[in-house]
Amino acid sequence: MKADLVAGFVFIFVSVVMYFESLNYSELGSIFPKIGAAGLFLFSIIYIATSLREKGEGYFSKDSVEAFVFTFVATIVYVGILPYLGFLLSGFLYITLFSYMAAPSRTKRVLLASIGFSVLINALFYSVFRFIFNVPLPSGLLESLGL
Amino acid sequence: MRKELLILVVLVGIGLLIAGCAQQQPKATPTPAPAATPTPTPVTTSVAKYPSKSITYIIPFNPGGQSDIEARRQQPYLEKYLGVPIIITYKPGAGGAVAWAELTRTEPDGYTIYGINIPHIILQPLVKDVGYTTDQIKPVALFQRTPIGLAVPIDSPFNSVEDIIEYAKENPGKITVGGSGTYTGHHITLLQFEKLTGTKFTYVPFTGAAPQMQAILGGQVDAVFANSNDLVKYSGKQIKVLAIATEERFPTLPDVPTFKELGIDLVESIDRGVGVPKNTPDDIVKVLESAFLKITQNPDVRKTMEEEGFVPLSMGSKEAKAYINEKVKVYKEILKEVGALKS
Amino acid sequence: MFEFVGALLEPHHFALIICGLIAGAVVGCLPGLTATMALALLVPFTFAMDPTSGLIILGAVYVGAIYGGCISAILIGTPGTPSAIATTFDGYPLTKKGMAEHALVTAAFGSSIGGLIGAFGLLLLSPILVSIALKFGPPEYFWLAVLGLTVIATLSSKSLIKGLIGGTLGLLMGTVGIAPIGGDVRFTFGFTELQAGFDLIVALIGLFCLPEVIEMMERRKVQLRIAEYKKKKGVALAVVKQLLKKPILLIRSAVIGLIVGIIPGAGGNIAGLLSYDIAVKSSKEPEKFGTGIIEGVAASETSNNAEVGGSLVPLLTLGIPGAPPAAVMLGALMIHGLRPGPDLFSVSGDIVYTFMYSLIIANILLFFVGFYGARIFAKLISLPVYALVPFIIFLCVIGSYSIRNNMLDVYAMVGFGIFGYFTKKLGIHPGTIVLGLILGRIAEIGFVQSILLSKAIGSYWAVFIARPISAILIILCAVMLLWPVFAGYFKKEIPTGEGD
Repeated sequence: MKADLVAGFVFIFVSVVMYFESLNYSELGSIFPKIGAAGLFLFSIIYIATSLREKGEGYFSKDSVEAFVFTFVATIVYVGILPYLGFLLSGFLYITLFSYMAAPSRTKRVLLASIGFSVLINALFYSVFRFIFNVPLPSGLLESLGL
Repeated sequence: MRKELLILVVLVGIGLLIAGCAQQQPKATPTPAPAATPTPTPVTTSVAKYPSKSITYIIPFNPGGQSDIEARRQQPYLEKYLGVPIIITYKPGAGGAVAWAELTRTEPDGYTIYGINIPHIILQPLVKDVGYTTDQIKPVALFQRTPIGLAVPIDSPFNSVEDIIEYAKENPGKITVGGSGTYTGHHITLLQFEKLTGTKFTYVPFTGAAPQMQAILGGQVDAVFANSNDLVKYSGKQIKVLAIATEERFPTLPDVPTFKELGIDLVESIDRGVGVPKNTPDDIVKVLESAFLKITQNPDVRKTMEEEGFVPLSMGSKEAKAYINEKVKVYKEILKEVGALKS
Repeated sequence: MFEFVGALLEPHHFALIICGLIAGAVVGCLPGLTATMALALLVPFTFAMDPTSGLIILGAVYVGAIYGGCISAILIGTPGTPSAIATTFDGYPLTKKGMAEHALVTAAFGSSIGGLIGAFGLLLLSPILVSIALKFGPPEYFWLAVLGLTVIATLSSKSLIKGLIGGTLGLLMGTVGIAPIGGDVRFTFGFTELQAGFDLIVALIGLFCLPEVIEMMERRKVQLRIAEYKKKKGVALAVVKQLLKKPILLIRSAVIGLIVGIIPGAGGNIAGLLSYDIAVKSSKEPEKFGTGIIEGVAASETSNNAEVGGSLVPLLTLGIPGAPPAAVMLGALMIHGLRPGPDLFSVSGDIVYTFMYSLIIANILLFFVGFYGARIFAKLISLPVYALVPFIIFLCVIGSYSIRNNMLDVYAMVGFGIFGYFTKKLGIHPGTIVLGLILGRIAEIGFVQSILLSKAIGSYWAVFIARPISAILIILCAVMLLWPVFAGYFKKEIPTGEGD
C-alpha cells in the first residue's frame, strides 16, 4: 500500500535525524534516543519490506478525506482564534458553525438548535470553570477591552 | 413543543453569558479611604491604586508540592492584607523554567506573581538556554529556607562525615549519593563538598525529593543530600543525618553538627520566595513585599515552618537581590570547574 | 483499631462521600481532566472543613475520578483519565454494539470490587506492602517498564511490526525536552517551549479522541449516531451474575492494581494495561478481547481502582505519594495539619483510620453512584454526530488547556490528533504509542540510574540481574513474551468440536 511505504520512509527519515541529533548529547542523555532511533530505523525497514509484498485497497476514501479536512480545518481555526477572541466567543462560534455545517440538512431549525446547544454548553462550562474551579480560561483581546 | 424548548434554552444561555461577562468586574474593590489630608503620592502612569483587582499567584510546580502548600497557607493572609482575591494556578514544566520563562513576558503590573526558588533560578540559566535569565526576575521576598543536609540509612556503616570522607578517599566514585535533579541545589552541594574535601562520589539524580527519599529509605543509594524537612521526617527512624549545611546548628535537629563545625565551609539551602518581572514599579513591589514579610512575622506561621523542618526567612526585595548576586558568583565558579557553565 | 468505625457512621460523612464520588466522577470523565486535577481543584473547598471531613471527601473524589475515566472511555473511546486507557479497548466496541449499559455496569462493579480490595489492602497490609515497595530501586523500575512494554505485543495482534513502530515512536516522543538524568536539552531544535516535553494527557487526548471523532464524521451520512442507547431491563443483574462467575479475573486484576499502585511513580496508568494484557493471556478465548466483551472492561477497571488504595499505602506509611493524585492528597494533608510520614499513625491515628474506613464505604457506594450516574451520561451518545463531535473537541480543548494553563498544550493536542489520525489509518494502535511514551520515560530513568549504580559498584550484573525482584521481573517479561508460543502449543492439545 502506498500509504505504508510513504510512512515507512518518513519514519526512516525521522530516525536518522534523531540519531544524528543525539550524538550531540552527553553520554547518559544520548543512550535512549539512540536506541529508539536505531529501533525505529530497523522496524521501518521491515515495515517497508512487508508492505511491498501486500496488496489491498487504500486506507483513505473520499468520505474520510472530507471528514478529516473539515474537522481539522475547523478545529485549527478555532484553536487559532482562541487566544484572540477569547474562550467564550470562539467556543460559541465553533460549536454553532460546526454543527450547522456538518448537519445532513441545513435548515433553519438546525441552525437554531446549533445556536441553542452552543450557548448552553459554553455558558455551562465557562461558569463552572471560572467560578467554581477558578481556572482562568483564555480571555482574548476583545474581552480584555472590558466586555 | 420542541421549538419553545429551543427558545427557552437560548434565552437561558444568553442570560448566563451576560451574567458571566458582568462578573468579570473585580469581586473585591477596596473602598478608597476618606481623604483626610491627601499627601501627594507619585502616581505611576497606569496604576492608580494597587491592588485593585485579583492577583494571580503562579506556582511553577505540580499541585501538592511544598511551594503549593506554602502558597495556600499564605493565601488567606495575603487576601486579608492586600484586600483582593488571590488565585493560585499551576504552571509546571522543566523544573520551573516554563513558568519563569513566562514571567519575563508577563505585564509588570504586579497582578501576576510567581513563586521563585533559589538556586533554581540561578543555576538553570547558567547551565542552558531556558528562556529567561536570572536578572530578568525581580525578587519580592524570600520567606522560607530549606537547609540541605547529608544523610545515610540508619543501618549504614558510616556514622559521621569523617567516616564517609575517609572511605571516599580510598574508593573514589564508589559511594552513591542521591539528589533531586541535575545541576540543582542538591547536585551543587555535592560538587562543593567534593571540592572542599578532595573526594569523588557518584551522583545519582532522581526526579524529585520523594523518589530521592524513597531511594535512601530502601537503601538503593548509600547517601543523600536532601532537604531539611524530609530529613526531619525520617531522622532517627530510618535515616541518620550526618551533617547539615547551615551557619549554626539547626534547631529542629539539635544533635546534628554543621559542616562548618567540622571544618567544611558548606552552607547551602533551597529557598522559596516570590518574584515579578524586572520592570515592575518599585511601589508595587513594596506593597507585595510588606504583605509577604508580614506573614513571615506571624508566630503561628513561623512555628509551623519550624516544626516541619524549615527555617522561616524574612528577606525583602533588596536583601534577596544581594543574596542572589552573591550566589551567582559562587555557582558560576563551580560550574565552570566542572565544565557545565554555558558558554 | 476497630473502635473508629463508630466515628464514620455520622450521616454527614456519608453525604460527603457521595458528593465526592459524584464530583470526582464528573471531572474524571471529561477527557483532559485527570484525577490529579480533580483533587487539586477541590482541595481549597476542604479548608473550611475539619481534617477528617476534608480527607474523607478527597478520598471519595479520588475514587470517583479514577472510576469516572471509564465513562468517556466507554462512550466515546477516549479515556477520561490515563488509568482508563485499557477500558477503551473493549468498552468502546461494546458501545458501538449497542451494549453501552453492559459496559458501564461492568465498570462500576469492577471498580467497586477493585477499590474494595485496594482499600482493604491499605487498611490491613500496609506495612508488608511498603517494605515491598521500598525494595524497588532503579533496576526494578527499569524491568517493570520493560514488562509493561511487552503489552505492546498483545495490542498489535494484527501486525507486530506496526505495534513496535508505535511503541518506538512513543518512546522517542518521550525523549523530547529536558532529559530526566543529565539535564540535556533534547530535540527542541531551538524552541524553548518544547523544553517541558510532551505532556501525557495531551498526547492521550490527541491520539485517542481526535481520530475517533473523525471516524464518527466519516460515517455520519451512514450512521447519524454512535449507537442507539436504549435502557433495557435486567442488564445490571445479568452483568453482575456473569462477572461473579469469574472471581479469578476480578481478584487477579485487583491484586495487580494494588501492587502497581504501591510502587511510587510506576504510574497507575499501567495497572489497567497490565491487568488487561494478563487477562487476555489467561483467557480461553483471547481473540474475543478487543471486540467488545465485558471481561476486558472488568480487567481494566477493577485494576485501576485497586491502584487507588495502593497509591495511598506509601503515602500514609512513609509520606511518599504512590501516584500524582496521592501527591495532591499529601499537600492537602499537610495543609490540614497532618504530617504524613512514619509518625502519622501514632500522632493522628484516629483521623487516618477513619479515612481508611471511609474509603471502604466509598467503594461500596461507588457501584450505585456509578451505575445510576453513568446512565445520565450515556444519554449523551444519543446526540447526533454533528453536534456531538464539536462538543467533544470543545471538551478536549478545555481539558488540554487546563493541564498546565498553557495554549501550547492545546496546539500540541491538535498536532497529536493529526499524527494519531494517520497512524491509526496505518493500523498502528494508539495504545502502543502511549505505552511507549509513558514507559519509555520510566525505563530511561531506571536504566540510566542503574548504569550509574553499576559504575559505582563496578558490576552491571549485580545491579541489573542479581537482585531478587529484578530477577522475578525478568522472568515475568520472558513469560509474557513467550506466552503466545506456549498458548498455541497447549491449544492444540484441546480437542476441537466441543461447543463453549
